Amino acid sequence: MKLNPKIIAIILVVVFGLAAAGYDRWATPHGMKPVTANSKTVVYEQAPDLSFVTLEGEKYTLNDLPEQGVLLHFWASWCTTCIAEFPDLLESVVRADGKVALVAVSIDDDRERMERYLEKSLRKKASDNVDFPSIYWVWDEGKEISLKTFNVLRVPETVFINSQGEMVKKTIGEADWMGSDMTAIYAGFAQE
Amino acid sequence: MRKVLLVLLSIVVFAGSAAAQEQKSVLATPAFNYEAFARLPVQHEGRVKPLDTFARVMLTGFYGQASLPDMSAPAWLAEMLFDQESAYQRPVFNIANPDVLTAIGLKYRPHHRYNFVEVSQALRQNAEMLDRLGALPEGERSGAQEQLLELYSKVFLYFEIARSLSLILPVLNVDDPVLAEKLNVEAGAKLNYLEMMEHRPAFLTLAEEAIAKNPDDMEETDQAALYLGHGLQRLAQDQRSRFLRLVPPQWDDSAAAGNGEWLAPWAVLADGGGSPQTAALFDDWAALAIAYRTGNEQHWDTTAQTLLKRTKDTAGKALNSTALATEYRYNQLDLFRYSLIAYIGAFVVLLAGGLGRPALMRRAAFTLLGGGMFLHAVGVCARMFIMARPPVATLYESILFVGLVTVIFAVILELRNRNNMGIMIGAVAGSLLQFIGMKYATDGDSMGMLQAVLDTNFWLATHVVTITIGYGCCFVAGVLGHLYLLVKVFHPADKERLNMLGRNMLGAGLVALFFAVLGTILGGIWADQSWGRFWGWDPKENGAMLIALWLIWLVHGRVAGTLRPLAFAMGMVLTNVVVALAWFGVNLLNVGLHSYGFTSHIAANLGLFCTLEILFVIGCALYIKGHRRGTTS
Repeated sequence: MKLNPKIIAIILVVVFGLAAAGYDRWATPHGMKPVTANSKTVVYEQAPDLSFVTLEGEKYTLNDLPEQGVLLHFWASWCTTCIAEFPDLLESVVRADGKVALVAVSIDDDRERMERYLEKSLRKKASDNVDFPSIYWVWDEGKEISLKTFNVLRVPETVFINSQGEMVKKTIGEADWMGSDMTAIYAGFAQE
Repeated sequence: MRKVLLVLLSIVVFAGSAAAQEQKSVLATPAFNYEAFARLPVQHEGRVKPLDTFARVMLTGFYGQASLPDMSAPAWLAEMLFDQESAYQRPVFNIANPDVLTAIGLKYRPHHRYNFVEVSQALRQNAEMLDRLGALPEGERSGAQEQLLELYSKVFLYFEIARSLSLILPVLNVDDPVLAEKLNVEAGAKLNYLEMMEHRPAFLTLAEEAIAKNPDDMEETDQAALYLGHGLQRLAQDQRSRFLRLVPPQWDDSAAAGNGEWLAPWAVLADGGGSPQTAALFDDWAALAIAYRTGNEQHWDTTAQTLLKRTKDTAGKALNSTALATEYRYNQLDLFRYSLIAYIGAFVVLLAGGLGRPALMRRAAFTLLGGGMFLHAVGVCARMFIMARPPVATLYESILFVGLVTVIFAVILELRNRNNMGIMIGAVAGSLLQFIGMKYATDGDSMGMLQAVLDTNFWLATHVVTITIGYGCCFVAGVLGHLYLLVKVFHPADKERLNMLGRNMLGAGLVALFFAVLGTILGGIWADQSWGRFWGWDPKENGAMLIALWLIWLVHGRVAGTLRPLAFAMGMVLTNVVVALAWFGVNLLNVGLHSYGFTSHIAANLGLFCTLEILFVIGCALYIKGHRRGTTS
């Protein structure tokens, strides 16, 4: 076979043409866009409009709450991590001054045990913060909110919901409630 | 660690035996439409793929083939997930080595297939021996001992996959009417783990009361409560099942970017991945399980469709649904198998042309070769689209691509010469490489993720593609060398054909040299960018240079006239040896920066190939020399 320069040229053009044409496509995998926590390119899931009843017997839905942001916090009185972080959590909500609501959903099996903890232990550590108006204490009877709606079995977990009802973040386990990250999230809620 | 594994094995055996002793599933294998189920996305080995691919890879690992005689891979996986009683009895473990069977006391069977219950029981009875084997340093175990430990791992993996969805299986029976009333469920209800957890407060009260009683004072309700508690405890142990990642991640930024870690169903509960979306997914999975267990085909179809849509919606735009659908189709079409059949068909038809109607047979053979090439090319392109990367990134893909290049080259040769030579080269080389490729395809997921060193698409598309085109051209030149020597042996007087083969050999050698040199230089530039040096005497680099030097010597010698056509043809045959050593051989060394392509168990085949090629050259040379002497005297 005579070496035909045309054939070589065609093969070269095809190989390098494919490489060049495909470079942009391959350099960035499909659908990948740079995102940040606050970036609008992220589409957050909408939180269900939960209804809940507080320990005082008042009925609310998430959309009813006057605060801009909501912390849907799952906890239990037997959970040492939950107990340890509660004073900071309550303090952070109080500092947000009505911009952030805390819906504290207890997954305790026994309502009385939960109430006993609130009255005898937490009130001593967190004093008046327990009664702050933006804090809603809920006992999740029948695990409707925790297990059925959010698949929560382990605590503490907290879902952050913004004023548009979007679930923008979730923390699992102990969180740094007084840290700068949390302050920034609260500030973001306040600006909405 | 080994102690923990032994305890786990005991649990596995216990669970398996218990399931086997329970009523044998009354269900025949349901003849469902598994398409929507097979299309469900799952993350495995760092890549989101259809459940169909996952099932094929897993089944191949256990059984040695991607389907059972009477069951597709997705059907097998569905049985594993929803009806373990049947799955544990299905003979899917392929144990062919008699030494392994003897070691664990299993009887030899001609078909080499054993079920989960018998294998796990046999392993448990030999737990101490396995413990000792595990303690041996690598390299000191025999082949059979390695296979035994591999079997041990497979049994665990099988159990882990089977228990992946146990949290939504309705296996907790509440038959006692008093217990049912206290739990606020209907008597005879079958609850799954999640449903049972909703009734936990009432159940705990009952269980505590029952435990406090003297065993003689226990009533049926107490015993039923304790039995239920035992079932709940057994299910809770399945939290270790993390292999089957079916749930798209939601709660981190990487999830939104599409590169987050997917979650196994149990991990959603245990690691806090839950959300309203996962709750809805679990509801769908639970409905699918019920449809399977009740044999309700219509319910199965609608639920599988709903589940597929919801999983895609939950994964969001980050999931490439088109690539997922293409991969499912790619699996179904099995393009490379059909292209192999077409290549073999082309070869057979071409030979049949010797018996009569040669023109017709040539056209038919060329059509078959072209058809095979088309299927081959579509398969390679489909893989490029699915993986969003150039055609060659793994050893398996290099085999596919070299095969395609070889066949394309052969088709060009045939179009130029129209003398059957191109068809012969394409059919032989194409089928040989496809056959070797099929062997590699069974070695796990053939679309594995890239090693970090390769994850640079521009260079993959230039250096690797160029160098593999060079391999393909070398292969064509090598086959031409074989043909030359065969013609020289059987038709030494056919000067015209020998001259034609000589010219084509030189042309193919030049093209191969061009791509080998270009590819090697491009590789050097890539190495300079990635590793900070152009050349490092790495085995793969040495292999590439060896090919280039070998071809330079041959081509230069031939063009300069110092190498006669016969010697040139012999050299071209040996090019195959050089290429095979550079392509596969350096991977056996498992050293150097290119050891990502490490392959074991090919040394014998590679050695055999090289020996046969060398013997072929020597045999032909001796015959031709002897024939010349005979002619001269």
